[in-house]
This record gives sequence, C-alpha cells and structure tokens, in this order.
Amino acid sequence: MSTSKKGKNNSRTWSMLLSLRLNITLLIVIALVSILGTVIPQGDAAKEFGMHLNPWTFKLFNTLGLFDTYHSTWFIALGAMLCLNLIVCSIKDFRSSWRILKKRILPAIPKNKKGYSLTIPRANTEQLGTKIENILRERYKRVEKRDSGGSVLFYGEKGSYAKLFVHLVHVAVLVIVLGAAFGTMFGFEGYVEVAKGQYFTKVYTKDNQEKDLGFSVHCDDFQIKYYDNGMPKEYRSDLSFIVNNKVVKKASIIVNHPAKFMGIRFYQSNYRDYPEASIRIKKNPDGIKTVKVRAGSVFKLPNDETFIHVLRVDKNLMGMGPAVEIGVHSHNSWIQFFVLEHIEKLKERIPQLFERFPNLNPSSFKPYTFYLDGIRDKYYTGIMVNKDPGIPVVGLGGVIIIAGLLLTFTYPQKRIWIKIARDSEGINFTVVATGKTGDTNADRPIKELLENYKGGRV
Amino acid sequence: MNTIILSWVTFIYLIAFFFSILRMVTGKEGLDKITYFVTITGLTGHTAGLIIRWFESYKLGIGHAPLSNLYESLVFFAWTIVVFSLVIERKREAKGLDTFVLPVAFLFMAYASFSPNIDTKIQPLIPALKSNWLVGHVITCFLGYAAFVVASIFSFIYLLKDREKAGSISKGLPDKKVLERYIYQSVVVGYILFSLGIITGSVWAYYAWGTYWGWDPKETWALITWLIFTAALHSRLVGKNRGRHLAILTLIGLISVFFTYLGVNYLPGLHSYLGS
Repeated sequence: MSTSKKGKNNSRTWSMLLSLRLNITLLIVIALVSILGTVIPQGDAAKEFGMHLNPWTFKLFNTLGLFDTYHSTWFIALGAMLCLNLIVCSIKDFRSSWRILKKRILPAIPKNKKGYSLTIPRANTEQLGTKIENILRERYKRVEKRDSGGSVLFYGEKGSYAKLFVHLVHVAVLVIVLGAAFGTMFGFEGYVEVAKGQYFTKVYTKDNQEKDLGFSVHCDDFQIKYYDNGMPKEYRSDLSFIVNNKVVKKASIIVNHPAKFMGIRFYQSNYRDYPEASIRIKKNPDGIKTVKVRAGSVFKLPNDETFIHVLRVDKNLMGMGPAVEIGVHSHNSWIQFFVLEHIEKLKERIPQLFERFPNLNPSSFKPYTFYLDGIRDKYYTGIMVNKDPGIPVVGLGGVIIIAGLLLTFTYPQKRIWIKIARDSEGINFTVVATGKTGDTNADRPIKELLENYKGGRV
Repeated sequence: MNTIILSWVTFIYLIAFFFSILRMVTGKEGLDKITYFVTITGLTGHTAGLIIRWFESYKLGIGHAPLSNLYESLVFFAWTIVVFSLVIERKREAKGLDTFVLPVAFLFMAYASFSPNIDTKIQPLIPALKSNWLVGHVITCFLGYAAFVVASIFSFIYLLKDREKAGSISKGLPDKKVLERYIYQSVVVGYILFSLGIITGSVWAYYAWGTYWGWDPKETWALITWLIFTAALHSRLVGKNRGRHLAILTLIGLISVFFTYLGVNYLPGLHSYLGS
C-alpha cells in the first residue's frame, strides 16, 4: 500500500513538473512569436508594407494573420493555453498548500534538495533533540516533531502563508486577462476628426464601423501652442457635450488629460491640416453658388444630377499658385480638370493656354464655370473616443499583481527538516532547508551544533 | 554646464575601472579602497550633474525631470547601474562586481556624451510627455533595467565559473551557490520594479492615448522581457541544473532589455526617442 501511494505521489509531482515545463515553454514561445509583430508592420501600416511584398509572401502573411499578429487566432490560442496552464497549476498547487496549512500535514522532504548529512557514532539523541528543538523554536513559527519507530523527524516552518501569496500574482494575471476580454467585448475604441465649429454624433472604430454616441459633441475651439524653438507645446480642444439641444457639459482636453462624459472618454490624440478651398460656381447665364471643400469632398450641383468630386487641393500647383483638381460625374460621363486661382494672369502670360492645356480650362463642363477664391489651412483635431468597462477589473489586477509580488518575495517561506535515524555507523542526522538561507534560517546553527557535538566540544 | 560635468564623470568611471582591473591582477587589498573612492567621486559628480541639469531646465523656463530624451535616459541608466551595484557590493560582500559594472557605466556615459547622433541639449517636453506619470514610469523601468543588468553580470560570472576549472578571472569572486542566490535576488528586485514600470506605463498610456495596451513595439518588447524573466523565475522550480538555466535565461533577458530600451528606436512606434 505504501508503494502505491508513493507511486501516485510520484506521478502527481511528475505531472506538475510537466505542466510547469509547459508553462516555461509557453512563456518562451509567446515571447518569441511576439517579436514578429514588432518587425512586421501591423494594422494600418501593414497596408503599405503589403504592397511591396510579392503576392505569394503577402498571401502567406495574410493567412497567418501576421498583419494583425496580436489578434490572430493562433496568438490568442497560445495566450489561452498559458492561462489554462496557469489555472491548472494554481489549483493543484493551491490545494496542496492549503492542505498543509489547514490539516497541518507535514510536507515531505523535497527530493531535489541534497541537504546536509552527518553521522555521529555515539550520540545522546534525547539531549541533541531537545537542543535542536530549542533552536527551531527560536527561529520558526511552526515546529513539529514526529516519532516514527526508529527515526525522528523535526520540522520547522515560517511564513506558512507565503506559498499562498504567489497565487495572488497568478490570480491577478488571470484577472487582467478577464478585464481585457471584458473591455474588448463590451467597450469600443473610436476615432473622429472635427474642425472648430463643427460637431459629431458618431465615431469610427478601427474596422471602420460607425458607432453612435447618443449625444453630440461640438468642437468650440482647437488650438496648438508652440515653444520658442518651434516644438509643439500643447494641443487643446474645447468641447461641448450636447444632449437634446442643450449643452450639458463643457470640457477642454489636452494630451494626457482626457474628458469623460456618460462613461465615454475623449482623448486629444492628434490633429490634421486639411486645406480648405473656396470654390465659386457660375452657371451661364444665371446663378452663382459658393462651396467650401477639401480633398475628398463630393457635392451635388443644384437642380442637376451632377456630382463634383474634389480630387486634390494644392496650395501651389507646379508654381502656378493655388489649385483644385475636380472630377465632374454627370450621366455616365467623367470630366477631370483643374481650377486655378490665378487663371486670368496665367491666360495673359501664356497665349492659347486652353488650347495647349485643355485640362486647365475652368469652363470644361458647360454651362458651368468654376472659380477658386483661395485656399486656407483648416485644422481638424483628432479625438480618440473610448469606452472600456474592463478598466476597473484590469486596474484591480495591476494592484494585486504588485501586492502579490511584494508579499511573495518579502515574506518567503522558510522550511527545515531534520531527520535523525540510526544507520550502520551510528546515528545519522540529515538537515534540509528551503527558502531564504543565511542567518535567519537554522541550518547553519544546527550544523554547528552537530559538528561541535561530534568533535566532543559540547 | 551639466553636460561638461557628466562628460568628466565618464572618465572618472574609466579611471575607477582601471583601478579595479589593477586590483584584480595584483590582488592588492589597498586598491580596493582607491577603486571605491574613485567610483564614489564619479557617482557624486554624476548625481550633481543630474541635479544641475534639472535646475538648468527650470532656468530655461521648461523645467522637467532629466528623464525625457535619449541622452537623459542613458545618463540616468548609467546612474542606476552604479548605485545598484554599490548597494549590492556593500550589502552582500560581492567584491569584484565593480570590475564588470564600471565599464558598462563608462560605455553608457561615453555613448551619451560623445556620440554625434545624440542631442545633449535640454529640450522642452512635447505634449505626450507632459504627465505626472513620466517620472514614476521612467524611474521604475530604469531601476528594473539596472537590476537586470546587475543580475546579468552575476550570470556572466556564474557561467564563467561553470566553464573553467580553476578560475583565474573569477578568483576572489563568490562561489556558484552564492552567485545563484545573487542572480535570483537581483532578478526578483528587477522583476518587481519592471512590473511596476509596465503598470505605471499602462496607466499613463490610458490617460494619454486612451488605451492601456496598444501593442506598440516598445510595449510588446517590454512584455517579451517580462515573459523571459517570468520564465527565468519559474525555471528555478524545474530540473537539476537550476543555476545554469537561471543564468542563461537572465542573459537572454538582458538582450531583450536592450532591445526594449534601444532597439525599438529603429522600429516604428509611439515610444521612439528618435523622430520627434
């Protein structure tokens, strides 16, 4: 019976070792594959990078999800395996620690520790035992003595709860993972660009989905401040939060200082300059319309099934001054031409301009004539709009992880086993100590005691 | 002013290094005191340089802790390594550690002071760095790095001892069992500080960018480093050759630390010291 118990014990330790080995392997594998995503451009940057790859490599990378490594199935699977391994290891280890703690079971002498062994031909075990016990009582919280037939085992333990602290760290890792998953599932990460005087009611997520906020946000102002040397000093957007046409809250956001409204946070993320062109459209013989556009704008001509696409807004087109390139889409026809601010001057300087360069003729689409009344900078503030209900959970995990690490490493568990048994040459003493060694542990004074005794100095 | 002091400090560390080499070769005890004295002189200048730089930034009207660009981080990194190793040397009687630490400090300082690619001027803070988390994040990270560097030096000595039978270089250095304990303790200290560094960084990122984890190359490399040292700590619980495994993983961790610190400057990302 005793052998079967031992065998069972062995396979249990072996499987724990196995899963610990698995744990170390997983840690290293995840570390290695994480490198991929730092070398291969990810997300938006991947689009440009992908175009330079040959089609075969592109397909391979794309199939493996290497353009979004950290959200690919296999990466998440590796993480999930690590979490599973952590749970299995923790439960197993926690149960054995708890049993030892609650039922006051004497843990077995660790097999991988060699320890110290000394045989004394003739010794007064009673007297030595009392001395050993005294030394242990001075230094350990829990001291026990087990008499089992021929041998005596002394056990000392300090920091009984230390073994449990490490579980705090492991639990915290799982809490962080859970919080992150919760946040991804029930939160969103959006982005929006808005100019002074404009408002928005929805934002765009990374996969270009619209997300309705349920209220509107007005950009009262956007300002950039610079240091004397020209480096940027501050980006600031003044926002008004409007519900049912009423301004409910006003807030200024700068980098590192977001605003919060109805559980959603607004971050000053970046800014962009989209030059804005003022275009005047004259329809012969009557009618004038003025529009303000930027590159990418599309607008419709009044009373007409004609769409104007603004293809380019250039402050200085090949030395000819401000220009806008437009495409006119009308009844399945497409005409593309430039509208220059200084077209009159150019016409005077270059005879037969339109004959030579028909795409500079602002009257290319009859009966309309287009005029450019100038281009000016228009700044758009880029605002990150996020909601992450997982934050408190992740934060809690962060706090527990630090507390757990500090407790684990400042209160290490100290254990000592002293086995006294009779052998062929006399009485054998085996001392095995784990945990912090040095003067706080008792292996040194006990060794001294035994050696002095053997040398006849006691 | 501060940069002149700091470039002098570079040479003081070099001199201290020579004395420590001399001590190792001749084995004269007296040289121990001289090395220590020169190192302390260097460290005093180093500390003064950092403080003066802090004051000078306020005089320029752009006051901030000297932790904001590559030059300042290199100088601070060197400082933390020297402080950390001095503390260990005093507390743990790990004599001979300085022979390995001083050249590292010297190289960092020399690179910071004399590399043409590094701007030594005090610059104002860009908006992203204007945060209360800057100081906490940078200090915890670099103290963690310093502990890892010291752990790696112990690992290096450990592996040297593992190789040679009767050591010549490692004579007078602690034996393998003691070294293993030093490696472990330094890794533990580094691990706690570095974990704090990652967490403070996450909090900062949450306020600055709206997300506590964005898989930016620097963040990812920090995670890689953290995973490697996690593996190193766990490696002690498995197998027979525990000291050796710990030492090897610590050295791999060190490579990752340097990649986290400097390598990512050559990858695209928000943390790059270059660029802005």
